[in-house]
Amino acid sequence: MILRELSRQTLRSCLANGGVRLRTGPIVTCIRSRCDEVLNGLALLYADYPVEDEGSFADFHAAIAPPRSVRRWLRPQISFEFDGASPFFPLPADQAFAALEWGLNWCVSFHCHQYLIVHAACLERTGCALLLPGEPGSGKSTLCAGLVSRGWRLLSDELALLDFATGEAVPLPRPISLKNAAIDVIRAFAHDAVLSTPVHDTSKGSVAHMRAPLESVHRAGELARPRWIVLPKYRSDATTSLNPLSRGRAFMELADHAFNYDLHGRRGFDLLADIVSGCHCHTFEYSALDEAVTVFDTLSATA
Amino acid sequence: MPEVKERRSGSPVGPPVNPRAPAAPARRRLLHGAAPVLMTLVSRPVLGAVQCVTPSVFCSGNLSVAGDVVVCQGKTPGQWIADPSWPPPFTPDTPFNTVFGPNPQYACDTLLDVLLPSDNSAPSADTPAPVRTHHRTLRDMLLGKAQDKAGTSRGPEARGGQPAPRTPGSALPSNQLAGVQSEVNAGGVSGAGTVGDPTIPRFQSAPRTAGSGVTSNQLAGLRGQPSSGGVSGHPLPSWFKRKGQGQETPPTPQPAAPVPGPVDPLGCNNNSETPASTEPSSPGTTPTARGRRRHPWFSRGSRPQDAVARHIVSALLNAQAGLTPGLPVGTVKGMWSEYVTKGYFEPTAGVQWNAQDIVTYLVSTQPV
Amino acid sequence: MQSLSVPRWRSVPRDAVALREFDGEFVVRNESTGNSHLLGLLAGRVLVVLLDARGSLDAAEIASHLDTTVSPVETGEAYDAVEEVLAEFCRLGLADIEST
Repeated sequence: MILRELSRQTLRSCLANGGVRLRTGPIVTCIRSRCDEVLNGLALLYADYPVEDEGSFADFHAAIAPPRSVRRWLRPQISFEFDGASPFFPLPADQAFAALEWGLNWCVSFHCHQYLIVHAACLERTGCALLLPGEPGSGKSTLCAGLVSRGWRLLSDELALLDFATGEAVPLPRPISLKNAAIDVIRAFAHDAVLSTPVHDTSKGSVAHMRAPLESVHRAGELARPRWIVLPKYRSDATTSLNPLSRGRAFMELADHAFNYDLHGRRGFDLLADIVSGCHCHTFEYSALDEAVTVFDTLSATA
Repeated sequence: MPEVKERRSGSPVGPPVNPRAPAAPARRRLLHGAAPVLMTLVSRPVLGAVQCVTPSVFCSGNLSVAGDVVVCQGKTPGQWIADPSWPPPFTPDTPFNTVFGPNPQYACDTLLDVLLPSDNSAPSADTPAPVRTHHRTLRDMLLGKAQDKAGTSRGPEARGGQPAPRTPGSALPSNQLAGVQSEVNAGGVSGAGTVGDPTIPRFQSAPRTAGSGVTSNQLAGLRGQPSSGGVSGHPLPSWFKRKGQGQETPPTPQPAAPVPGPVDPLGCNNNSETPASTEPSSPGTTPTARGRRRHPWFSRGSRPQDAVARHIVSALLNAQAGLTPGLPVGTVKGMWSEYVTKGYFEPTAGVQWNAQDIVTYLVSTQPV
Repeated sequence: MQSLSVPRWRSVPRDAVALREFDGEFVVRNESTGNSHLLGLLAGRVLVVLLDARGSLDAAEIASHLDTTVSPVETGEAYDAVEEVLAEFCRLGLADIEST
């Protein structure tokens, strides 16, 4: 079953009671909430995702719920809950869906240590994976959204899961988080992209989420071997340029961006070294998204 | 100088090897290449060692330091209480005000008095912080805290202009943070938090193929545990602020109690309700409060500053003993002085730490 | 004859180091410290020499291992470069002077 097969009333009831067991790639999350923002966000951005049966196994149990205080009603807030506990301060209620997305990222990056988790966008073309590790503000998510809207398969916009057994990237396709000016950039670049209504005044500024393409969701079980490692950097006046990066430096960048590199020790070192040895590595500067897409399309032809 | 990064420092990639280097004979190429060590990624320690940083560095979260990582080995208040050897010139009988300046609220207190728990019960073992790493990775990566590097442009998704709000590092294990919470909350600081940061890896999963979920035993480990698991060093994402950073409530004034007979001006030797032990504790015994009865206006233990004072004393001793290189004695004293004067401490311009923030930082320097 | 005043160097134990070479650069993970390093060609070769050595080596011996055509008289330049590398290794915990 996929989520859109649930009527709105049924979805609301499931969310309010036993929860909706949403599958995103290898992860099943039981989501509970009575917030309309969560209901609307799921209905808009997760309509094509598989839903597991009630009572089936879930990796994480998450909820978005109002706090047990006057802030349920007065300037209402919500809290992200994990396994029944609220580790974080509440947020304004209109940020409920964004809070769910951020919370799900947290769940994966804190717990999925069966993978080496790299803070990177991950896409696939011609069977090969592109890793885009980048600092916040590097233009990684904008580039990811642009590429996805031009035919690249989305594996993840934020968390690249690298499998120890095969060295491949494991898809975790979820909505792409866009911030501030990137929202309008993508609206202009991809007219048919489905974006949530932006929420403002978050810690990141304005945030909206772009729905993952249907194909990316359907092919969430297809792993891909990394073939390119590219460090993107957006610069407003930059000439679009793709430059070689030594594998040694690419390794250090990946290690630097890997959440659990230290946890895995030698095993993580070996995995990254194996991956890097099979990749073309570059730095990339851009200011125009269409030029960027052209560069990457050309790059994919080198696979 | 080779580039040294605490992992995920956000520092730019090191300088590229000069592509114009001539194709010299092997030996010359070998000798005259780039610097010997081009980059170093400093590991976040999984257990034990804590990187010792100054308050401003702790505040900024920037642990990209050149050179060796300095390790904190500070002791907790409970450990100092049980320690028979204090670094001279400080002793358990040293008056608090002698060290930190006149303060009527601690006029009757020795350093040991201030260290002891507020109810003068046997000190519970301060929960050690077996894992303490200050790691910006999750917070910065997932929450878009781009580094404000000079000349560095940020992507269209970056916010412009405003510096990110800074909170003290939050990479404390849940038990430690809970201890901090309860301690400060006893003083009336609002913000009921129960759950701390997951920094200790709860388990190390076996590899599994895509499509399979976390094994049931792993999930069982997660269930019923507040904010559990996680890679060491993952602070709470700052889009979600750590609980307990609420507004500090002012202490409730205590009504004056009738004091029989002649008293000294500060009431330190009034009545005999609480016997004052004048014998020093021998090692291995539970020390008792050696203070005199306090004036009821200055009832210690119920105020936010008492939690700060307690950790300030242990920080002082740690500094004097050389256990916390990033936090010298002068800084400790200055921190306390500013806090009691202004009600907060500014580790860096524009950032104000309340009682709980200060305690959080000081606890971070006490890993074991 | 071995000079008593010349320091002799040992790397960290072989099994504490993971090392890969990529196009003349070496990525190294030192399990003793948990740190990872990117070494240039010279430093990487020096580390390999130390790791492969059965005992301690002094700088001149290390330099000679790097290029067998270098005679002791001509090793001045190589010697200095190796000493610089060894100093870095000591600072980073990749090698240290053997205690006598």
